[in-house]
Amino acid sequence: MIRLEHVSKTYETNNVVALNDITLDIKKGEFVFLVGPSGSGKSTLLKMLTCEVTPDRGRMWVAGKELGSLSSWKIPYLRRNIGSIFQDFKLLPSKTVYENVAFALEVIGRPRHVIQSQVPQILELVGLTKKATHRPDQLSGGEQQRVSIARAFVNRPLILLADEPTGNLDPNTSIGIMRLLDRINRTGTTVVMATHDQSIVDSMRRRVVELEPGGILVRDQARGVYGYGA
Amino acid sequence: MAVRPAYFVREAASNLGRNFLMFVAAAVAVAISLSLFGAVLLFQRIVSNVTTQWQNDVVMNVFLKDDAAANSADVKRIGEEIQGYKEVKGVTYVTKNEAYDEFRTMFGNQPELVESVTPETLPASFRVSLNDNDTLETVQDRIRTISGVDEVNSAVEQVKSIQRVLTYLQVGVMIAGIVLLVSSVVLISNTIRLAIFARRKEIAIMKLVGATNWFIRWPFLLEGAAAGIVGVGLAVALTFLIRYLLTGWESIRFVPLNIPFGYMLWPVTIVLVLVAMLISVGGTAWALRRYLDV
Repeated sequence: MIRLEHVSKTYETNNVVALNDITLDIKKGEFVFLVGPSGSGKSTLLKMLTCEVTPDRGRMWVAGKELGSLSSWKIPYLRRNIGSIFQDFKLLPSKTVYENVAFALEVIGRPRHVIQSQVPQILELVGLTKKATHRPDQLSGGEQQRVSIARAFVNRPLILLADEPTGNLDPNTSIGIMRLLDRINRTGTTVVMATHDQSIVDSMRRRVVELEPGGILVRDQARGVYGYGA
Repeated sequence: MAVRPAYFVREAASNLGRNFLMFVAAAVAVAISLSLFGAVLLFQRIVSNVTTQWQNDVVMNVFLKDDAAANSADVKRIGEEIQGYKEVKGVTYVTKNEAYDEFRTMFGNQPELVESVTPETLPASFRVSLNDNDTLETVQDRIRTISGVDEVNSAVEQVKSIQRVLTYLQVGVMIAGIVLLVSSVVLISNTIRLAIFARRKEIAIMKLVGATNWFIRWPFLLEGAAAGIVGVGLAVALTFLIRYLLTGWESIRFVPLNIPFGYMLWPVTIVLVLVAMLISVGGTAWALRRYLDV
């Protein structure tokens, strides 16, 4: 589903090496934690998968497409196969929960009847049916993250990318979010999650890919834990 | 992908509402610059009317020396020579008496001036009209060399200086129009920039979930086009208001306007619409390229 071959990236503006010769293969339906300190290139790696950042060297495949040979007008269509969630949720404050989720379908031109049937479905999945008419500022952090997951998953993408989704949430709320991501993963969706949250990684025991500063892959462990020797 | 015109129009309208003053400023700038443009187009027509009219009236006066005028053979010789030039359309002889009659009619309201001249003091002359007024100067030079000819004059210098003034005026209005044209491109681009800024979060999410670039651009293009359309509407109205005022203007009565109402309505409108499209699409495209990174 995702494949990187000798991928490197150096940011020209500050000459920082973000990723250094990364080779990685993620199969369909896997759940992968991406761990490592700040500046180890986790976010860069996720941004490369959505073509927001292009590698200097190396080749990448996402959802069967080689990104290097993908013309720019096809990038939006690739992104429809990838859902993304973030630490700061990135919800539109002026829209209701329902509208925030529907927006993701509207702007890719889905017909109204599809939107009207899929949005309530996904809101039920994330447990927000009763809050459909609320605005983001009327919701707790955990609820807001659920909205953003609903928005990312409403189009049933093949891949879900999560950049520190629990970074702003308390431990109990985080567990709820992880249950939801696990549930989404069980539907066959590949999940890649960058995180600093040790307890989550250690309790879930999924594949762990560790990067260290300078963008070097130092560990790729099935059913791994957050740190060495834990 | 399904085309969603209603969606785009709705989004464009909401952009427009958010920065309404900016939108109005852009539309007014378009209107003013285009009105100047339209005024220049009408002006050109006036200038060419003036030029033709006055050039048709340009007559050379070939004044004869008194001894030549007294000798009918000389008069005949000079008249035939001038008539022989291929540039010359017609020649009429004006005797001293006829010149005096004209003088009396022309200055009939100034008796003391008429008193001061007699037929004898006025020179006899040939009135020469030409096929092509551009040849006026060469013909004039040639006639001067004929013996018995005292002086040759025409209104050519006056016509030329009036043409010059009109040309400067046109160039001036044109330059002002172009400066305003450029500033309206900048204003439209700025309007769109603000609209993009107001929607930056939505745009980021649209990109994230895979909206196509054109889907993202459309509402902004429509907003830019709306500024152009409102602007050009005002400009066409203003241009014809200017034209209307010009015909009613007392001091320009002597200028043969000869513009029937509605004249050039369509050509001017079409030119203005085309220029407006260029301005609004140009300004919008510029803003989209610079600020919409898609």
